[in-house]
Amino acid sequence: MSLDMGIWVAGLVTLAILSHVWKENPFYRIAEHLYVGISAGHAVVMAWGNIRDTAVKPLAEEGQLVWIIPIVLGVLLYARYFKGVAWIARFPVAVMVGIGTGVAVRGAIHGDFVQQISATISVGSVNDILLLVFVIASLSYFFFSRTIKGPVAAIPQLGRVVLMVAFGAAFGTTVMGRMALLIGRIQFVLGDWLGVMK
Amino acid sequence: MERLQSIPKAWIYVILLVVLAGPLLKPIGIPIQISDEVRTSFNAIDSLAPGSIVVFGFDYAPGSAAEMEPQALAILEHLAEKQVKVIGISFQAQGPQMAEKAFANTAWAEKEYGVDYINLGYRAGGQAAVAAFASDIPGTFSTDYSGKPSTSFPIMQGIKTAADIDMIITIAPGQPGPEDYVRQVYGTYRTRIIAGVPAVAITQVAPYVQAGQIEGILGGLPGAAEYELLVEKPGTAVAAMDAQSLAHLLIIILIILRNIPNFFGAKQAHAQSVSNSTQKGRGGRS
Repeated sequence: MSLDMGIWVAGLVTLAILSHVWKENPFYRIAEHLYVGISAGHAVVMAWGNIRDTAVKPLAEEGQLVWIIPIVLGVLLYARYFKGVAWIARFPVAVMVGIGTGVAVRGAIHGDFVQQISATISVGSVNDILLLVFVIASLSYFFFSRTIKGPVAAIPQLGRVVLMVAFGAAFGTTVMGRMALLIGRIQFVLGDWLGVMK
Repeated sequence: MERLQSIPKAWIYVILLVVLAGPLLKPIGIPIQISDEVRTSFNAIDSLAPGSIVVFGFDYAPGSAAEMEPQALAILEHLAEKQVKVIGISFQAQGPQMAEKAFANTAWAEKEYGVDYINLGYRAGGQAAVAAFASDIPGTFSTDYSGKPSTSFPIMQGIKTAADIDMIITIAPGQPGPEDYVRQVYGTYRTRIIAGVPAVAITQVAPYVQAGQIEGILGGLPGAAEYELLVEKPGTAVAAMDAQSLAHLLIIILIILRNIPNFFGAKQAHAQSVSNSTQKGRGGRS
C-alpha cells in the first residue's frame, strides 16, 4: 500500500466519485465540488500565464506596443457586466468571431472539403468503390428538396443503413472509451494505491 | 423473461467491477492483434532519422489520461530510442503538467532538457492558436513552461514555422485535436501528422487517415497496447486489455439478455394483434 499522501487523496476521491453509482451522497458531492473548484482555479492560473507571457511581458519588457490592442480588447469584454456600457463588449466579441471564423473556414475549405472529396473520388480498390457508394447513399438520405420515389429510393434507404452502421460503430467505440477510463481508475486503486496489482 | 428485464443496476455494477478487476489482478493473456493503423504509425515514427525535430502535442488532461497517457508514453519511448528531438506543446490547459509527467516517466528523464527535449507549455486560442503556431513557433510559444525565453534553448535554434518540423504527433481526446492540425498545418506545410485519439474519436478521425492527411492513428487503449507491444515495452495498456475484452463480452451478453424479452415480447404482441384483427374481421362479416 502506498505511503504517498497524494496517492491516498486521489484514491479516496476516486472512491467518493464512484460511490455515486450506489446513490447520491455527501462524499460524492465533496469530490465533485473539489473537482470543479480545482479545475476552475487551474484554468484561471493558466489563462493568466498566457496573457502574461504572450502580451504583458512583450509589452512591458520589450516595448512591443502592438500588444496594447489585444489587451484593450480583452479588457473591453468585461464591459458587459456594466449596464450602461455593456454594448462595448460587442467589439471584442466581433473581432474574436471574425478571426475565429476566418481561420476555421480557411483551413476547412482545403482540409475538410477539397482533400476529403478528392480522396473519396479517387477509386483504386473495392474498398474505395464501397466507400464512394456509401458516401453518395448517405448524402442522398439528407436530400430533402424533393421526395425520392421509384427504384432510386433504394439509394437513401441504403444511406440510412450505412448511417446506422456508423452510429453502431460510434456507440461501440464510446463503450470502449468509457471502459478504458474505468479500467484506468481500477488500475490506480489496485496498483498505485493498494499495491495489490503487479 | 420479466426477470431479465429487471436486473438491478447495482448487480450490473458489481458484475462489471469483478469482470474488470479480475483480469487486472490475474491476467489471462488474451492475444492482442496489431492493427494496420498502429503499425503504420510505428513505421512512420521508425523512419525518422536521428536528430529529427518532432512536435509532440500533449493535448489531453487528467480526465482522459487513462486512455491517452499510455499512448503518449509508448510513443515517447519509441522517440527516445530513435534519438530524435522533441518539442512538447499543448493547446489544452492541463497539457503541460501531463507533458512533465510523461517526460519524467520515460527514457526522456535521462536526456538533457533544452537540448534533446523541451516543454513549451500551453497556449490558449484553440484552432486560431494552432494556426499561429504553424506560422510562427517561437512567437506563439515565446517561453517554455517555466517562463524562460524559448529561443534561448539550443533545441529551438532554426525552428521558425511548421516547415522546420519533421513530424507532429498529437495526443488529443477533443478540440483542438488532429483535425485542427490537418486544417492549419498539413494543408499549408504538408508536415507529417500522427494522431493518438480516444476510442470514441476513431470514426471522426478515420476519414483524414483515409485521405492521407494523417499518416497514422492510435485509437484508445487498444491502440496504446498495440504500440507498447511494437516498442517491446508492455505497460499499463497491455495489462488492461484482458479487462477491456472481458468487459466488452459482458456488455454484449447483457445487451442480448436485455433484448431477448423485447424480441419475444414483440413477437407475442404481433401475434396477438394479428389474432385480434382476424377476429374483428370475422365479426364484421357475420
